[in-house]
Amino acid sequence: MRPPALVGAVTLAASIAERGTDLQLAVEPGQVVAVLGSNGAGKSTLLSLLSGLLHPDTGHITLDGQVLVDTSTGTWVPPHHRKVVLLAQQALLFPHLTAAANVAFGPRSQGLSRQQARAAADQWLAAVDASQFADRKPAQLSGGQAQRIAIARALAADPALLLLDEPMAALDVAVAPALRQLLRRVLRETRRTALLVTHDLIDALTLADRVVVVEAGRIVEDGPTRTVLAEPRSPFTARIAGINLIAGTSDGHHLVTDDGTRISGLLDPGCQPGDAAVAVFRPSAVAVHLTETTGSPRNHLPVTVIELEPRGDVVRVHTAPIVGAVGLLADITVPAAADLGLQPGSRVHLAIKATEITIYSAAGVTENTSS
Amino acid sequence: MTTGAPAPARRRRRAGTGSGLPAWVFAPAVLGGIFIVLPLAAMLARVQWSQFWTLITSESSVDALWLSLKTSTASTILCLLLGTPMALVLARAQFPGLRLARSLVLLPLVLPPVVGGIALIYTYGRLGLIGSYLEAFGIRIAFTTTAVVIAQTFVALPFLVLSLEGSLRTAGRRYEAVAATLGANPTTVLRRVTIPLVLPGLFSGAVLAFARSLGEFGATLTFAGSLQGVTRTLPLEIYLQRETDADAAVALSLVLVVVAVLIVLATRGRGSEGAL
Repeated sequence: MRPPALVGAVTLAASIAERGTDLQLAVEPGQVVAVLGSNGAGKSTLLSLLSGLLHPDTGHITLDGQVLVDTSTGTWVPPHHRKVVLLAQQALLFPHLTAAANVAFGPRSQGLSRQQARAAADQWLAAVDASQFADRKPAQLSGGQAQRIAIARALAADPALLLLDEPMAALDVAVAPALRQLLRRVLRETRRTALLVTHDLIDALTLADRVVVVEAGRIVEDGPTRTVLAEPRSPFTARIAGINLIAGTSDGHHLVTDDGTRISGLLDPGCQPGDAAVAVFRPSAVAVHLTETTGSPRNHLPVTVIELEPRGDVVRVHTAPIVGAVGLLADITVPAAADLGLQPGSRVHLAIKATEITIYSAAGVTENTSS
Repeated sequence: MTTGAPAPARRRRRAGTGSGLPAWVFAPAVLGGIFIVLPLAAMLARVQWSQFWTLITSESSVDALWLSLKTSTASTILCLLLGTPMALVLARAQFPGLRLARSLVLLPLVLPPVVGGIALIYTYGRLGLIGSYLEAFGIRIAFTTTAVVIAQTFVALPFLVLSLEGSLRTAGRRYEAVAATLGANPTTVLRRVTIPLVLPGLFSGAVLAFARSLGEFGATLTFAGSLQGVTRTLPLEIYLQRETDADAAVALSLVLVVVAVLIVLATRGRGSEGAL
C-alpha cells in the first residue's frame, strides 16, 4: 500500500445561483471529513463540484496547490485529470468487465501496462479481502461484494481526494458494519483525504475526524466530529445528534476514560483493545438518581446538573462536563424531574444499562497515536 | 384463511392469460399477425420447387445476389463509421439546434425512396451539386456500384443512428462519469466503457441497416439504374423477372425472405430485444 504521504489539500469556494449553493471549504491532507445534511441540502453538489461533474457559476477550487477550477480565469481541469475519485451508493462496476478488470481500469487508464495494472488490481483486491472474486462479472456479485470491489477500484486509481457518497446506504444492515470497518482500515492505512457524505451518525463517528453540516447550499457547522455531534448548533445536527458521547480507550471489554472511569457497554466488532473509542448512548437511556444506587445498571456517573430544558413531555437534563465528554444528556419525564427537585447545580448520579451503550472505535483521535 | 383464495385466482388466470390485458385486445393482435404471415405463405405456395435451384442459380440471379450482399455489406460498414459518431453526438452532446439536427438525420426514414433517389441524382449526378465538380476530375458516381452503396447508405443510416441513440440513452452517463473520475480520458471512456455497454444496440442497429440496404429498391433504381452485375441488386432483379418469368421472381423472393428471417433470428439471438 501507499506509504503515508501528505497529499490531498483541498480548498473550495464555489457558488451556483440556480441551486442557491454557496460553499466554502478547506480540507487538510489526510483528513476525513463527514458531510452531513438533509436531502437536497447540497451535499452531492459539493462532491460533483470537486469531481468535475458540475461547473460552478463562480468559484475557485484547488487540490494540492493545483487550480482545478477558477471561473475568473476560465480554468477548468476535466474530471480525468483531477485525481479525484467518486465512490457512490451504487457500486457502478462496469458490467462487461470482471472484478479484476474493473479494479485495473484506473491504473490502466493512467498509462500503466497491462501487467502493472493487473498487479495493482490484485493488490487492492487483496486489501479489501475480495481476491476470490477477481474473475467474476459484477452480475455475479452481491451488493456488499460489489461495493468492496468498488472501493478497491477507487483506491487503485490512487486518488489525491476520495469522495464517498453514502457508500453504505444501499447495503443490507448486516453488510454495512463490515464495509464500514474496511473503509476505516483503508482510510487510516493510506492516510487518504476523503469527503464522506452520510446520513449515519455512526459513519461520521467511526470514520471522520471532522464534520461539516450543509444546509440550504451552505456549510452551517464545521468542527471536530465529537464536538459537533455532542454540541450540535444547527437544527439538523441537533435532530440527528443530541446523543451522549464519552471518549476514552477500549480495553477490549470496556471504555476507559482518561481518569480511569470504566464504562460497560456492547463492543462494536471493529473495536480493538487499545483503540481510541467512544461510548454512544441515547439521552432516553439515562436514569437520574439523587444518591448512588445499586441495581442492574452497570454504569453510574456522578455529575452536576447545569440546565433543565423542557421538551414537551420530557425534561432534558444537561450536565457539566466530565472527563471524556463535553456534558451528558438525560431525558426524564416532567413529574420525575419535579419529584427529584432538580435544579441547576444539583449533584446527581446517572445510571445507564450496559445494553444501552455501544462502544465504537473512534476516528481522528487515533491518528496521532496509531500511525 | 387460504380456502377461499384459489378459485378467483384460477379464474383470473384463464381469462387474461396472466398478461393483465383485456381479452379483446388479442383478436386484432392475431389479425395483425395473420396480415403479415399470410402473404408470405401465399408466396411460398407458388414456389416451383422442381425448378427452384435452376432459377436461383441462373447467371443473372447469382450476379444480383452477389451484388446485393457486397453492396449491403459496404453500406453497413459506412453506416457504422458515420452513424456511430452521429448517434454519440445526438445522445450525449448539447448544442442549440440539436432537435432540428435529429429530425433532419431521421428524414430518409420517412422520405419515399424514389424521392431520395432523385435528391441523390441532384447531389452526385453529372450535373449535381457535388457531381459536377467530381465530373471535372473524371469521377462519375451515378449508375455505378458506388451509387448503389450511396443509395443504400442514405436510406439505412437512420436505422443505425436511431437504434444506437436509444441504447446510449438507456445506458446513461453514470458509468462514463465513474470512468472519467478514475482517470480515463474521453477516448478511453468511449472505447472501454461506452461502446462495450451499447454493443447489443450497435449490433442490432447494424443488422437493421444491413436488412434495409438489402431491400433497397426505389432510390437505387432512380439513382443507380439497373445494369446487370453493376447496379442490379436482388430486389431490382426480382422486379424485372416478374415481368418475364414469374416463377423466377417468386424463387428469388424466397431467397430474400430466408435472408431476412436469418437476420431477424440473429438479432433476437443476441438478446437485443427492444433495442429498436
